[in-house]
Amino acid sequence: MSRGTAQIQGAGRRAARPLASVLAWAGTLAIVCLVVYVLLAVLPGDVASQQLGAEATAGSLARERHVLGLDRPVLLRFGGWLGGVLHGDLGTMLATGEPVSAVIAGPLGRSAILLVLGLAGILVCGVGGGVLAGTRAGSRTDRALSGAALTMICVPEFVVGTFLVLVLAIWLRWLPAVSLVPLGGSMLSRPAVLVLPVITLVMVGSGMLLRQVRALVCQQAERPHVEAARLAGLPGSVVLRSHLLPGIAVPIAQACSAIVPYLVGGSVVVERVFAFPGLGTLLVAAVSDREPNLLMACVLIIVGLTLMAYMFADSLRRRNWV
Amino acid sequence: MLIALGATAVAILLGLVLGILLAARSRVTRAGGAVLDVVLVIPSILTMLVLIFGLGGGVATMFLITAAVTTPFVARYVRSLVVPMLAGDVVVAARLAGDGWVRIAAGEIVPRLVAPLLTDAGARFVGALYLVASAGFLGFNPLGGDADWATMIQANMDGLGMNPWASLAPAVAVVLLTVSANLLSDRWMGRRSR
Repeated sequence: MSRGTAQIQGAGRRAARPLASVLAWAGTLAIVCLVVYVLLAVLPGDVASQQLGAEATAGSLARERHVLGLDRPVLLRFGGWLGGVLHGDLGTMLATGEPVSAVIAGPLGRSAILLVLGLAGILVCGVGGGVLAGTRAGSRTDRALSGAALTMICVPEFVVGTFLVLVLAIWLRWLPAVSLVPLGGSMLSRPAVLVLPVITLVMVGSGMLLRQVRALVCQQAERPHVEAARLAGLPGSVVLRSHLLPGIAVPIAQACSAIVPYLVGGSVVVERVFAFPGLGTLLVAAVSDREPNLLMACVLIIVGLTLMAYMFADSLRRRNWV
Repeated sequence: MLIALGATAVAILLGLVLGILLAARSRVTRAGGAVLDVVLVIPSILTMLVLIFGLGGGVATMFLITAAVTTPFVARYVRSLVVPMLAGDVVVAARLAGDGWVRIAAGEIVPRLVAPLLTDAGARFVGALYLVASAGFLGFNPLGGDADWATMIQANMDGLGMNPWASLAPAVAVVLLTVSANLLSDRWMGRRSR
């Protein structure tokens, strides 16, 4: 094979890689959704028995199942659901008959604001704090930062949130304790309600990231080329910027994308602390009101997001090794 | 509390078996490893909520959920410990002596896993505790009937201004429990590495 064709093939493979990873993402997402769908179908307590309540007879139950289409094979039903999703149709709410996409749109937007702000804060505090602590390993700053990070990891989000509400909202009265959004208004018209949820997410999330980044920086600081740069008398900032950080940029980016699954899960609890009308609150409502279509939509979004972060981290790792 | 402890124990046993099985080299186990990776990425709160949706609250469900969520973590840890062991001298020697894989797993591998698993158990226990507490906080009454600390925090949130201690006291209790469990497992870990 001549060199030219090999190059062309290589270029083709490079172009195909993003497409392949999108396909892998969509495929994995579909499989996870299938598993959840079948699980919900197999587990006891389906929608028909829920709607009819205690006085359901076997006959009325069967009729209700037929009306709801629950007597069809589960794989067929999943196929119908997946086809609907591909057309942008997430099904309807059982109680009100509203389309799920209309119910989910507002909370999804509000949660997106919360997640983006939280992620930005975590990246700044986690990476910044980690580098700060790692370059001064053993110093008082390091001990204070690492200790604070460990404490934050040990304490559940809802406890952190409760303390913050108590101190900042109730004793000091600086911020609203509950995320009341004006009717029809957007979250951004009252930025004050975002402060406490974001702080809670940042405090817990950056604790984890800080410890990982600190460990990476400490490890890298002992490598010979960093040592050589330091002994050559280069100023600390130059050593950090052009000798220490480039080598660990990829693992740091990986650690950052590993924060996303945590962030998405943690925000469910944090939203509940502040009665924040977002996706997490909706997810909890879907479980307590037993709305399977709403639950599946939330699963789709959350798993889609976390898988995306995971695959991003994975692709970074591959690029680093090859 | 007891749920978290029991579920952690069950999860460690299940994860131990699963992890050893997954360490074997074949196409099936590679697929299993990929499944494990995906399962680990899904937030455990989501898994918990889906299972609560299907099974309802209560002690038995909570036990099941905690065990189900904790097992993959243990399995991954065990696999990461066993894979380098397989290439190690001990296993090669046993293999040359004509021992079967089951015998090697029981006689050579498992005893070497006990100590690291015990230290890992601390972290797993704290994770399980979080999960049960979060379920309580989200209002799913994980323990059925009796009030647990997390439910108390949630129930008294509305009156936080009037009576802060109603939420604060259980919050402090949760912190004391999780922090001490963490410190304990850290201490174990430190003693082992020394």
